[in-house]
Amino acid sequence: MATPPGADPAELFESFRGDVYLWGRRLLGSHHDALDLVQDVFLRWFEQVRRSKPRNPRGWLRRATVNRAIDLIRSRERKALPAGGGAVAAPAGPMKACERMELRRDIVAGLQRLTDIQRAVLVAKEYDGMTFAQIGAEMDKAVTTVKTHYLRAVAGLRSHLAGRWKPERDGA
Amino acid sequence: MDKRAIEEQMADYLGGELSEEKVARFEAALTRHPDLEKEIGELKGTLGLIRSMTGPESSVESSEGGRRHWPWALCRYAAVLILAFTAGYFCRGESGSERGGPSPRSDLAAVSTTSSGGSEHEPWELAFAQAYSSHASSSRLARSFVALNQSLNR
Repeated sequence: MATPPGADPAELFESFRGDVYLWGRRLLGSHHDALDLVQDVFLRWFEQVRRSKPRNPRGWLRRATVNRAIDLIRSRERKALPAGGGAVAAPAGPMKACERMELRRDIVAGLQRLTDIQRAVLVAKEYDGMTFAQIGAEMDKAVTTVKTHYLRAVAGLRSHLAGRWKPERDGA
Repeated sequence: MDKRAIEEQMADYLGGELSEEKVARFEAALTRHPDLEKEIGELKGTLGLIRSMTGPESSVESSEGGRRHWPWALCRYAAVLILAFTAGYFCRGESGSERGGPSPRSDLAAVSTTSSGGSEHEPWELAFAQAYSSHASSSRLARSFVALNQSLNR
């Protein structure tokens, strides 16, 4: 995890652009989309800093990245997934690239349905690899609260994805 | 481990924050509670979907972007080279048969000779021919290239 940078915008950009790219790449799956996301997120950051500087730049950037990814997914026409019992057997073995992209978009669409805190916790945990304790410290929440939000977030995603994607039995 | 203890450790288990020993104990306890086992299995499945997207990129997806096109660019260059070589080879053969099959050396000599005369060849062709003449180990492709230009200029 990068150390919190100083007030210098260039320093902050250098410190976190890799993280923002990685989150964007994981959320959207595309190199170009992730690069666009980096630009958008840092433009928003600089606008935000003019008004007031967020206490936790990394957390702010992560939230902005997810929100921007959701906007991007929303703005695109999505191909209809097989409906009515046509659940696609997801990542068991090599998936076709288009199915992977579709699943990725569906997951981001599912993130949109979560509450802000649930989404923030899930993304910090699954996309940023933070521990519950680290997330709690970053968000000023008790670890048990963080865990509760995490479980609710996963359950929320499960209901969103159910019937559309068929998980592996072992959940690997 | 009772039901409540399982529920308390559920997040740690799903989040991968239990030690191997605790995982084994947790999973053993889970077999005694089918309802929880089913629920946790479903949540694990959902996390499996997410993690399949956040892990190492598949070769197809990771090839998006600039890297995606490099094989095609390479193929294009290779195709151009092969075409140039083939065309040069056949033109050289044709011109060689018409003139009684002179050697590439004599073709180049002809270019060099004409070069001293002046106007028939472009400056870059002359420079190429001179460079070729001064290097005995020049490739067949280069010879073909010169022969091709000569035949086109005729």
